[in-house]
Amino acid sequence: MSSILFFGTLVAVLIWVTINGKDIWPFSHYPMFAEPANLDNLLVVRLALETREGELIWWRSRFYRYPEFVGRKLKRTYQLEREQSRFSALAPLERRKYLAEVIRLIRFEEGTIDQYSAIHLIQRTASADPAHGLIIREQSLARIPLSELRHLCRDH
Amino acid sequence: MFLVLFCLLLAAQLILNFQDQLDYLRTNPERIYGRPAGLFGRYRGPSLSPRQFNLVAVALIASLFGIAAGVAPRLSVLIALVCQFFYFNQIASLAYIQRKVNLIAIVLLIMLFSPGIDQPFDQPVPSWPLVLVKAALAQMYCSAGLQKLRRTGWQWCQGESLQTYLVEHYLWGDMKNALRLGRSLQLCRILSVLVLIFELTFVLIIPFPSLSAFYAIGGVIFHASTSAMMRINYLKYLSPVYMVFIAEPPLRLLNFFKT
Repeated sequence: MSSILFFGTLVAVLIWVTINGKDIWPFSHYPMFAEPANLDNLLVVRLALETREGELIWWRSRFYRYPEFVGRKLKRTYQLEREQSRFSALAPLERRKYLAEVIRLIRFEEGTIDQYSAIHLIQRTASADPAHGLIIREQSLARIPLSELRHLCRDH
Repeated sequence: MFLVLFCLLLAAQLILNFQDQLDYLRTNPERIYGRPAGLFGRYRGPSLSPRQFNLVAVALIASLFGIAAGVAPRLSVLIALVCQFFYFNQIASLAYIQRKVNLIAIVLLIMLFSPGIDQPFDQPVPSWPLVLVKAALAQMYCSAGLQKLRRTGWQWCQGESLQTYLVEHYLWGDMKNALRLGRSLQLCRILSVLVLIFELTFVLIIPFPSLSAFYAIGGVIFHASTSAMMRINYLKYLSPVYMVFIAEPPLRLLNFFKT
């Protein structure tokens, strides 16, 4: 009897989260890649590091979702500013907070940030061209010297 | 048999990936991602220090070996269930954790209530726990497919969404395979249809168990592809659950010879 009850309850919960689109860990409705997406609306903000020699290299973390997540958050700050929402005044502070975390992560993984002089925020988009296929475009959003961020980057 | 394979493979994955996961904990992901979701969306585990994380890992791995060895199996399952919550909750934002370990908890919960876990292999046991494990697997895929239809409709099969996700992965992560695939809308269209068919029909393994091998192979190919294209690695912590496809046939064979 208890087996039937357990079986029924678990199946009911699995169906419930599916129908209601809920996430109540460990039960999930797994909505990954479900949202409609279009190249025309695709915009990624990615961080690049300027070395002392002036070379630009993408920030890559060993934990590779960090650049994606930070990029999404930074993109959101620019969206808030464009929308001129009541939170837009906080956008620069949010950006600095995330950039400070990026510096902390670089220090953690590479030991030091002395090899870099600035962080660049780069906007990347893509479009489909009938003649040339996929075209990737990049536009610089900001160059922030690390000297401006050092006071935010106290190790803990 | 399933429980033994599940626990041994899970323990192996934990051991192989432990250092990586400990290093991730040390990056203090909460400072970037915020606190992870709690149990049933409400009860968050405490933040663990690296030392405490080590201890929980040891307890978790030890309990998994205990289950496999038949040492107080039900108590060991309970310990594993509790430990895995504390363990994975700390590193929930790690790329190959996130929702990819949900089924670990669900399988352990099923095993906790399973009447057969303290029986020898050659004893016939009710098959409902394995059916329930398959149901949990089927829910994962079916729900993923249903959410695509709910949020995008049949337009998902046109391929633009998949193409965009692939290109997006290249733009933020240099995944060249994703870009190569994303260049072909036609290929994205075909793959979108195949993915949706796979996800929505996975539940057929329950009324038609003979289809299990087909869907198991399809699942491995599907997850290996997403890993190669987009570094989305489900196989690490889904492979223990996939043991349900391997364990059942030998068990049936064993019981067949017994009778």
